[in-house]
Amino acid sequence: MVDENRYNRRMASAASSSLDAPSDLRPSLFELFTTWLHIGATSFGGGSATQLLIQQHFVVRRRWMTPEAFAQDWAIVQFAPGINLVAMTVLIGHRFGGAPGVVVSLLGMLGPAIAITVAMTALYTQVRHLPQVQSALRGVTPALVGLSIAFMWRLLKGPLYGLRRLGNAALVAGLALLATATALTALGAPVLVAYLIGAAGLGAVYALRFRSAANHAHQG
Amino acid sequence: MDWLTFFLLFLKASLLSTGGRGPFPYLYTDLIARGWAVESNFAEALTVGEISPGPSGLWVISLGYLTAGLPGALLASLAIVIPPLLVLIVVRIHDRLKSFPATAGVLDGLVLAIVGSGVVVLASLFASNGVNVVTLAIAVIAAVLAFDGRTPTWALLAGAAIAGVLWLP
Repeated sequence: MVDENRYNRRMASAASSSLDAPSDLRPSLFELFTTWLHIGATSFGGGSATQLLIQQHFVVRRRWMTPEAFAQDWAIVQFAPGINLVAMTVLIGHRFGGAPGVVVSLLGMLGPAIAITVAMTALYTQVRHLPQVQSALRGVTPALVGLSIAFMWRLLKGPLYGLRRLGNAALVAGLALLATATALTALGAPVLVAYLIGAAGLGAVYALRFRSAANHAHQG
Repeated sequence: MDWLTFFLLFLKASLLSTGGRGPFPYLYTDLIARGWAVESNFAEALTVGEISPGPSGLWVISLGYLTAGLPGALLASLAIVIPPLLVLIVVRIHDRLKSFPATAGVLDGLVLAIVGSGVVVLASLFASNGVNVVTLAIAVIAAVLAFDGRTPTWALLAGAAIAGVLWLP
């Protein structure tokens, strides 16, 4: 019984104290830095490709993390503000090296990437006045809009799937919130207002639907 | 340049959103309203973000450079590194957070709002660039290829750049 309690507590704190990996399989600060450096320099565009790359390094190649611990960290990262991949870098860095681990991981993951991003932008400003560059930008702009539409559709799929499972009323409420955010922004309301209404509105919808589902049957 | 306001606008955009594109509607409306950026700066920054290494969310740093030089890039970098640090607090309360159904709703609602506001901002960016047969065709082809997912983003953007040089003088 005591053992079981200890086990449960251990499982509960596994995300922050990394009890899931044997201590001899933990990376040093230097290894942590070079691994993130590798990931940062070879990842393009971010998203699921980079997620896979991180998994390759930490789970498959070095076996510093179990697949379960990685999945758990990725789930936690979804609750953090900002870029998910940066939050993942922070979380894994902290798991293996505390505050210094966070610093070296961020430096490795973002240092070269930021330097290259700034250098590319600076180079661009040297040539932006050329008429050909302006023409190229006129072609690239609608492509970015098209890309972003596809990207946003992919973003939408998760919430729409979740809403559909909650029933038609929830789905309609979600679509109404989507339309509200669009209308508010089109009418010039602050983006923050649209975001708050979306987040609070759907939070309320989920809470209500789950409560009624729990009353009806087995949902917890 | 009011550096504190500049930094706080970038911090707000990253802190009160999620993902690499989440800050886009904030920055687009805030910076253009203040006259600190023009529409084309966003296309420039997003392009750099797509073709440089690292998360594509780093486009915000390129925007910082385009609007306020190297100090702008540094402040933008700080502004996008600080919010993800909060994951260290999230990890402590994750189990409790997860047990509320409302939590998933808040996150999904944020995504809905990002898409809803994002569509408006994208339409504005598209319109400012010029609406004609060529730009419409590029947008549709890019969307279809991106849906399909087999064309690398850099190739897609390179193709659009060539189309621009050829047909959008």
